[in-house]
Amino acid sequence: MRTGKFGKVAIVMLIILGILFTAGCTDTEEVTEDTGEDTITVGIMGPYTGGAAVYGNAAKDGAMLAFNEANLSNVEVIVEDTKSETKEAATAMNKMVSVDNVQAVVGDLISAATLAAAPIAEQNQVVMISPASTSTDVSDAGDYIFRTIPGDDGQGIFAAQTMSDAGYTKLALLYTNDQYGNGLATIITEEFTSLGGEIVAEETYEAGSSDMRTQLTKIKDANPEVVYIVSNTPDSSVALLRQVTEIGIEADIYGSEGLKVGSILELGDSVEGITITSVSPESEEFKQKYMDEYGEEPPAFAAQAYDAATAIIMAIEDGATNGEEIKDKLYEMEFDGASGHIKFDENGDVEGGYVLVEVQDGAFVTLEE
Amino acid sequence: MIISAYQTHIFILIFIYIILAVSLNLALGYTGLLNLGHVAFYGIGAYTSALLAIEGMPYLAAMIIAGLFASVFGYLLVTATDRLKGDYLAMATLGFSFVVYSLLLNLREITRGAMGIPGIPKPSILGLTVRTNDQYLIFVLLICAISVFIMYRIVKSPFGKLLEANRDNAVCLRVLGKNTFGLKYKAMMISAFFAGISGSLYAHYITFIDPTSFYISELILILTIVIVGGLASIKGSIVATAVIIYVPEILRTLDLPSSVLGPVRQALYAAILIAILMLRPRGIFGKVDLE
Repeated sequence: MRTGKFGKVAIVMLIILGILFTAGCTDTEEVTEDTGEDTITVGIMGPYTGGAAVYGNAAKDGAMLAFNEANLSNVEVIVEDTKSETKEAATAMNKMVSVDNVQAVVGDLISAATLAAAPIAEQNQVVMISPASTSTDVSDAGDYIFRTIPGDDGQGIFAAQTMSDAGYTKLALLYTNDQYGNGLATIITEEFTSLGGEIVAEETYEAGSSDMRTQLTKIKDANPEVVYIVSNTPDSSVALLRQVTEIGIEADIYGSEGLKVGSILELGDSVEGITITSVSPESEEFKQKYMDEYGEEPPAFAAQAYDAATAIIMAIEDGATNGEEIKDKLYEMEFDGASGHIKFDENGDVEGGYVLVEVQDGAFVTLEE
Repeated sequence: MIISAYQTHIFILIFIYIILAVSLNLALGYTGLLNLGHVAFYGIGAYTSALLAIEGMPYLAAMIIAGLFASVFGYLLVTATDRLKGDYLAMATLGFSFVVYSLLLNLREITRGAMGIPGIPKPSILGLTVRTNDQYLIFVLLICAISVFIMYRIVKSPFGKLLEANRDNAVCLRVLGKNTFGLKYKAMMISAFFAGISGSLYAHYITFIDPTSFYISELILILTIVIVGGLASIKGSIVATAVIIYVPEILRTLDLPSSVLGPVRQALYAAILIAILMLRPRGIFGKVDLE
């Protein structure tokens, strides 16, 4: 019985402690509101644990690089983990908005997380700039929602036009059954058919799986002239390309940037001539800066996060003090960032540039566009 | 409002999860059905309600239908797993979770697949729209109180005692001339109904859902709540929900460098859960062991 009582008391205390803890935070919020008119809090949110942690940390490092460089005395940066879950993203956004009183946020990466947090940001007039969410739904998420990576429609249209211009008329699609794969495939299908082409096969696979023989066999039977592959994990990319050779698909292979990983080059001759559509690479200047700071080449989304942070910094330097003013400045600004030219359109999207990358003699070669 | 918007948000989540956890406890703790398919009912409820509301159905109707629809799946699940017990039932119901996840992902014409459903309308009842989080908190609290009260009355009723008897000794109960299959059906359908209701509350609160919101990590979360709170204890599930949703939020305020905060938070959270179960192996208010 004694332990029973002890247990109950401990739990009740834990809860009270929790309430006091967060209540304490509310107090500090009021203090900053009263005294610190000058301090503007900016948040960074993304997945730092869980499946997408690699991308999340890269984006955080990229954004922090910009904030450290600018070293603004009136800007305070806070970081929140969202574990790539929608619920966590909503919680993190709520916390940053009401406890830390943030005015702008760099994040989230995963489109689903961004879409879950966006209504909260919009309602509280907090600017949100995603460095990685490419879903077309993000365009319509609200006035305060921006991104520094072009949406799926950009890459999809670019890929469809490139393949159409190269004279292909029979296309097969193989893509991951997730937000990214579906988004891209939908746009490519629309654009390619409107350019007079035909989609002869459309197959999906679960993200992270390594056996696509069934799908590839079906694609082979449909006899396409070209296959477009959407993959976003290195393991799947390698497995896929190996199986393309194994099954003996004669068609030319195009793919999204997920194929642009060093490990596919180990497959040798069989990957020669593969063409990859990719967002324009980061600037050499940024690459150098990132390497000096972190000792490795910038991973995906680091440059986009750097640009998102830069945009917020520029708005603040320009005199913006709250979310609404930052938003207005963002729609006006234009600059050459680490990931390319940044100019937000009326949906808060950037146009972005794309390049074609081809595997030639065992290396990725960027073709002139 | 005396509490911040952040706390309001946490409390809303806690009340939604209380319904979810108590309803799982009804099947798992009281009836002894090792059901790992509960998260699927939650997802079915969320999607049903979201899709109906987008089509223009009044919120209350959409919520009830979401519960009923989840309930139908509860019926189907028991039909399919009728003869299974214990671990075998656990495997089969886990399979059910995977199947529903896969359906949500692949029935693209209906669910938009991996793209998820954005812009789910906030509930509107008799012309009054629940707009702010404060209003939503009151609304959720109300639904939560009603749901838990109904489930409390069920487990305290003679019917509830039969459920517990079925868990403890089904053979004996059958000898006494009771229909144990019927009991399982009823328990699972009630449990699924309330899971569907909580799914609906979640969907209309966050206003965006996608299949990954109703998958393994959610399943583990609600199972943890029920086990930490104690099987066959409504009080336990309620307290455990508050603890399990609140503790990670307290850990957010730890003063650590951002590079280690995420992992440290997870590790501490795990340590706290293990500590609770070491001190009280049957959960905080648990009275029974599951065979």
